Amino acid sequence: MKMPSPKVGLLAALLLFSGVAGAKALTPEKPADDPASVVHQLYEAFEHGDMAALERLIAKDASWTYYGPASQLPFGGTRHGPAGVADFFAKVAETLDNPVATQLEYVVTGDTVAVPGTEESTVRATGIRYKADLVHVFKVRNGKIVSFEEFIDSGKVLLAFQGDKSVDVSAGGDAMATATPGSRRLVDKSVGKAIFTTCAGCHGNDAKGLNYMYAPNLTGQHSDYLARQLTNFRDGKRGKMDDAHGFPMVGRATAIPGADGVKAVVAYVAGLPKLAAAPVASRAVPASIVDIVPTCATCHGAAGEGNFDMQAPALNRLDRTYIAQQLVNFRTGKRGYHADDPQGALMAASVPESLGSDAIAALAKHYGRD
Amino acid sequence: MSQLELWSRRRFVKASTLAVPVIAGLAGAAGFAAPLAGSAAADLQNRIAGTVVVKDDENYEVWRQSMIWQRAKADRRPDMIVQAERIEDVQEAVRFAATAGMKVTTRCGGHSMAACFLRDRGMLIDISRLDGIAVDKAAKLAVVGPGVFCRGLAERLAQDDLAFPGAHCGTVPISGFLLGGGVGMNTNAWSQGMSVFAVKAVDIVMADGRLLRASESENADLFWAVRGGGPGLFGVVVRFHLQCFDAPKVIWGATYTFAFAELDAVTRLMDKLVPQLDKDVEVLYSVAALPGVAEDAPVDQRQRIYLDVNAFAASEAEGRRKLALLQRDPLIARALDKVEDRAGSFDRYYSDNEAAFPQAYWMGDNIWTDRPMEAIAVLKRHIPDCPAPRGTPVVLYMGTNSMPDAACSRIGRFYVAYYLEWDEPAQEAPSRAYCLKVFKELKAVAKGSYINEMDQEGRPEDIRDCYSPKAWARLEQLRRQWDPQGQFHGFYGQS
Repeated sequence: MKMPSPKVGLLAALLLFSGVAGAKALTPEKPADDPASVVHQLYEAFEHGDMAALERLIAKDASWTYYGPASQLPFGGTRHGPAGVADFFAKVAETLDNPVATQLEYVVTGDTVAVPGTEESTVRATGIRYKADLVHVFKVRNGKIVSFEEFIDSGKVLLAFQGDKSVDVSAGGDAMATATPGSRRLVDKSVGKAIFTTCAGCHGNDAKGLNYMYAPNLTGQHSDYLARQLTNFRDGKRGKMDDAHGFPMVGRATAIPGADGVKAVVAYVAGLPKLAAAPVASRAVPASIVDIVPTCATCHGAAGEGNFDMQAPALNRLDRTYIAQQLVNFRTGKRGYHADDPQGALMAASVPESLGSDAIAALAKHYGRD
Repeated sequence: MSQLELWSRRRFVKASTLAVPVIAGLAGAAGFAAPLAGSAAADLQNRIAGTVVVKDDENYEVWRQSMIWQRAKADRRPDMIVQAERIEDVQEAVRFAATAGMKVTTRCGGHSMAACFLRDRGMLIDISRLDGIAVDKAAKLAVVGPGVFCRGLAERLAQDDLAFPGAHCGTVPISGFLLGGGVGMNTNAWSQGMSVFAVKAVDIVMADGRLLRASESENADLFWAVRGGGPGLFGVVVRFHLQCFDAPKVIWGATYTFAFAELDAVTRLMDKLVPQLDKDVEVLYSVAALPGVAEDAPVDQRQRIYLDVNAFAASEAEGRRKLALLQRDPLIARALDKVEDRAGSFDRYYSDNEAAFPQAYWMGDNIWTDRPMEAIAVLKRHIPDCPAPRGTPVVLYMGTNSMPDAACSRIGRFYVAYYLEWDEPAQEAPSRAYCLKVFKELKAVAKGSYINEMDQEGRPEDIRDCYSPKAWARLEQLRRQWDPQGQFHGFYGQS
């Protein structure tokens, strides 16, 4: 039985700031140095625990401020530079459990990016779980973050540290709880969410995929791609019986009520928080596939981020097992076989029969999520 | 804290970290709305993390239809649908229903072919999003959310070299499957004939909203009802504690195709020879139409018999040994086609079986019987008249286990089911009428039926035959004891 490693706490703290971007979040096609892109990269680095990226994205003289009494909130006050940021997260990891964060949108004004959201954590010392509204304000110059300020309802956080149960949102703290009710909130009762009821059993409640159901992450993919694949399953262009884990999708996709239903469920998925992309750009290309990767990049982009104009999906949102299986499917005629699936046919034609299992595994490892 | 709890906690911490609702920013999108202030929906919605949908909602009909997995959508309309996100939502919903005078039913995967969970009044609680699997390998125990699919459970357990007698259809969640007894894989060897006897305990939300543990040592009478009470259970099971088993190293199998004229011979083999095989050899046959053959072609031309044999074995050699007796039978040499030496796995089994459980328009019914020859004689007379484009009888050998005392109280040496699938709305009514006629006739050779796949809509008066008279009476008595106000709907057609 695997036990949590010591790193889990820090990673959880980083997740507090991770890229759970909402419907209006930017998803840059490739790393860029405009302010919103830099902030986005920072959130993604947090999610990966990518300390190297933190070093790259945070200016050496950057200020990092959490507004709250430093005497009572260990992570409160102002810190400086990457080392200060690392200290901030160390303090978070030491004192908070089970952090959950949302970033609802990016508001960009010149070199300033404001990100409203919420943070929900359990104070380890008191067991009280608070949920606080916040705004992160970043200033970006020359592709680096020079200033970060967290305006949070730190009074609520302080009460949680002081053991005041009036701010506790844990409702008994059941281990299987996955969300917290909120009053006066808007509720998603959309057609898409209704239809997604059937999808969730395989792709997970959050559409981020379930490896034990062989179902890929759907978040972060372009909606047109998802809609096209659902339509392909419905129209016999994908999911032959010998495509063991694709065939079940034929029934599921066919049961969706019409083209409008397809649109609705895809729109629902598009609004879900996105699973962060694999850090392909920071991975060295293995020698065994160095001649193949440029071909992939032609359509899927240098970082496997996908290319809407080329109708190529994001590979860096998919897990390695799924990518490897699809390459085999394209190579063996189980996908991209239909004359009326030009995108699939193009991909099938691009996978040579000579592509061996070692190369497929290397490609999947290079582009895919762990 | 036990290792299981630690593991469980870790899993669900991860789950909760990922399950972040994004609310603001979507406010203008279609389908987002706050329930009408002061309405019943708003009252409950404000207390739960899940979703409340009522008849007045614009998208109610899509939600209602989405509760049914298959494509034939029973025309019944609950007043309120509650899609729970967490156990507390279920508790709140049940309490709310009590206050509002609504009866409650539960759905998870919505696979019930009779859609028995869908009633014309009251509240339908959808627990499909209560997922999660926590495994204690050393103790061979798993704590599993009701929404977990049988295929997913098998794959997850395989990571720890464990297995559980899940459903033969991989997209069936464990919940309804187990509560109705569970005709699962390798139950003859693993779980005394039915999968539910590998359930060690459950956590269940009762009529008053309390969350109770039920097992042989805690609330034992409630546990008695949980093990088989199925859609007549007076509570919502929100966690299953499962006894797991050492995973087979291989599911060693073979499939033989026979002419329809061999139906008696194949059934005789099932009746006489198959019981001599080891208990962990599962044998079933189905009768199915050859693809591409005209529906009005003579039955001998159109129908084939597919005999499927799977040994849950510790090695290939053991698998071969376990199948040898059957393979020496002279009938096997008459097979029109065969697949032998199949080194299978749960993954392969579920993939191969996907086509047998289409997400289409369909219904089914079944009986338990000790008299397969007589049962098949009835079917043989009717098969040529089947109005559904695809009608598939299945005969499965169940063994001769003595089941523990529980609500699940009916079983036979053989499970005989008949699945009908159609394409056009006009084919539905004749298919249902045909099925009803066949199974009324089959009652003469039946020992009752399996509640989960019974035609509850067609013959609700026979639902009690899914239970022994003694068990039926005790279930009624326990219902009065645990749910005195009748908070939960009873069996279909009875409340």
